[in-house]
Amino acid sequence: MKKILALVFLMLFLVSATKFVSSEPTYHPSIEGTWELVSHYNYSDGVHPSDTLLAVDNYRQIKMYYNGKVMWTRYVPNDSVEWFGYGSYETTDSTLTERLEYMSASMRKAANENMEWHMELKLENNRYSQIFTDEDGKRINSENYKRID
Amino acid sequence: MKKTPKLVFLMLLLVFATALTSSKPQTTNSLEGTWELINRYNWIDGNVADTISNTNGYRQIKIYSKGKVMWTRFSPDDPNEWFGYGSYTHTQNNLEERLEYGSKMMMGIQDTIKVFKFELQLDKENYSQITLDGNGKRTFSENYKRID
Repeated sequence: MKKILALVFLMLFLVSATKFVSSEPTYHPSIEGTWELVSHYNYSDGVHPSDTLLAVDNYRQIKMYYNGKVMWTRYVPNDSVEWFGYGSYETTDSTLTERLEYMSASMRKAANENMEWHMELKLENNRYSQIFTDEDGKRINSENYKRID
Repeated sequence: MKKTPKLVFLMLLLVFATALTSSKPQTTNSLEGTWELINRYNWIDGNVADTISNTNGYRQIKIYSKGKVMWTRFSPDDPNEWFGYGSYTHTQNNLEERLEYGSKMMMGIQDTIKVFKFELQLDKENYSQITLDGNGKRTFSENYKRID
């Protein structure tokens, strides 16, 4: 009788244990998802934000990251210039690299030759910042996003 | 002692069974992911009348993720630019997209069309969004392959 009880206990333990293994670890926030721009920061001393520019009414800039692919579009009412881009991305804990494959004509004029952007990344579960730095690693400005989905 | 092997068997069966239930059902294909346009069809009387291929670097890519959809078009020959962002829902055979914003050209179209409704043909690696006329006849389709 004791053996049976022990086995029943072991059985229940094993059944419940399979639940633990199948839940995914969530220590690392992921950039996967849909994000909307909320503000820009300027960094006049290269380290700390010196001023904040909030996204103006009706202005919308949304980025989607999915499985190594990134796409972003910007909507500015009554602006004749159009902005968008598509490509691939890689992240580490503190860096974000985007390699665009194509983009709007205006973006192409602003882009560097290899269409690659290396940025500092600050990522939390529901917000992230991509920070542009100069050659010496000093922060210039950032785009700050909140998670939509 | 006879009972013990039976119980061990039951135990293994139950453990194994949880593995079966924890795998997600794959009966319906998902639109989630990144898709690139392969070509477009014009339809006449229920048949594909002609195929429009991508020429001169034309690319059109859509990303669907958790109810949000974004698409952009790279078309060096076209002085106008095209993109859109919004939400979507779909069933096995129907796709509905609601535009929240788009390029100038798309915002012009949005004045008359708020919801874009399509017939949907979806399998794992390909999908087609088919525009129907007022009588439910196929008129135009965009055909995509999965990138990711």
